[in-house]
Amino acid sequence: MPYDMNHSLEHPEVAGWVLGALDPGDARAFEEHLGSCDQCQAAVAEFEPVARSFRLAAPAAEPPADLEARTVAAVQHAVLAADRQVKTPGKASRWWHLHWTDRLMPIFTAVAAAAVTAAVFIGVQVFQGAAPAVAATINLHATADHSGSGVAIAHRTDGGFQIRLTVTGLPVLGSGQFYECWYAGPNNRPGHPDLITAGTFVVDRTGSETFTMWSAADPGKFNTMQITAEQPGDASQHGQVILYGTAQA
Amino acid sequence: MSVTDAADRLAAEEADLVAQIAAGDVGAPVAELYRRYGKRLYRFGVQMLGNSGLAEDMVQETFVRLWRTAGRFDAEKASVGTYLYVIARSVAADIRKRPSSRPLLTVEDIDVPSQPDSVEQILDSMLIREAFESLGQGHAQVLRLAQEEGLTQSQIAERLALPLGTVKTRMFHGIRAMRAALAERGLNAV
Repeated sequence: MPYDMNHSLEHPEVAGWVLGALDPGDARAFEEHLGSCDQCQAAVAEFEPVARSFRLAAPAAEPPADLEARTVAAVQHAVLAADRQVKTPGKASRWWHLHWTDRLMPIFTAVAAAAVTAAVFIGVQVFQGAAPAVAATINLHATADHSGSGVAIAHRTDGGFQIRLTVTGLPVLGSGQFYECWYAGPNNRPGHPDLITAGTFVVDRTGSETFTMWSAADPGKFNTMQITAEQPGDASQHGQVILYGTAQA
Repeated sequence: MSVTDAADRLAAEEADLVAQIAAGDVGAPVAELYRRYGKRLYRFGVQMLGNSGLAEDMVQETFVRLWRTAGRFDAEKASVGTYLYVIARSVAADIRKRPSSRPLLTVEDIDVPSQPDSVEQILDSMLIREAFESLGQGHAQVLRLAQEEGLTQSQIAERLALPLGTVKTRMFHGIRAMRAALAERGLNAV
């Protein structure tokens, strides 16, 4: 028998009863009523599975705020790694095709150990040449009263450093405003800036952006990254720091 | 727009995000899918692996594998959500095999870790949590205090500075709302 809503509204204790939240006096009174009330018995039967469900609910675990940026960065790392793998075997297989013949087999066998060693050495050189090494990873966190997160991955290149920056959850700025990414040196302090700008950007309507910058600044020395909101003017830092993070080698 | 139309549009939108990832765009489409599924996957990971750090690893690796297999995704066969859970389940199984994922246990701890429930039970428990989180704040608040803190109705009334009658009716309407929220998620008889 389905429970009667109007009757249950006269006895809202039914919810407290199934949840075990009635005060002792109310519990005794409702129990007495329940024994002789079909409609409240029907309501209890209907709500008990709901009360049980609370005990089966997954914990309210919240992922850390920067997991989104780290996840995007992990995928981008995988893409870079895959690019390297595509380049390296290409050269190796060409070498194999040119040299692996019956005529060269005995020679190959004789110098196998040395060849393997050399191949490993060459492979390492090719690998290093094919893709720049990761110089630093910088997880960016929001300062107090701000939102957003990000991650920057700096790769050492011949001409300096390539920085792949991903930000999420930043407010969309007004017309003419933009975000600016800065490297801060060890002597940076209020009134005595030790800052190098790495680039400017705007975010899409979801507050996200992923892009690449180039800089001569070594993240090992200028090891703090700051993101500020700026507007056109001189090249100094005027906006408050919204995101910041320290380079991890 | 009907519920079916909205669901179809959402499915097409998510399939398009996967297609963009397959085409090599691993910025905004990955971030968008994370925003839609990241929290659920993280909770799934916590339940499967019993550890928040490993759950974070699982989420990241799930999206990496999504990128690797995005070209093979077939929207006719499964939704993006289902596809992500299939990947996540496989990633979680791999993480559990990793020696480094097994925490060092003291003698006292050895009996403590419980085996994870079946994947289906875990998914149900996540749906229950989502149903609870869909309730209005007034309803959720009294139910949470009763369930998680074990407070009686008069203690809840005191804590929230509300009349006892208000707490009773909020609890009643809250449990009805929860029942409806469970039904919306296909959990009629838990």
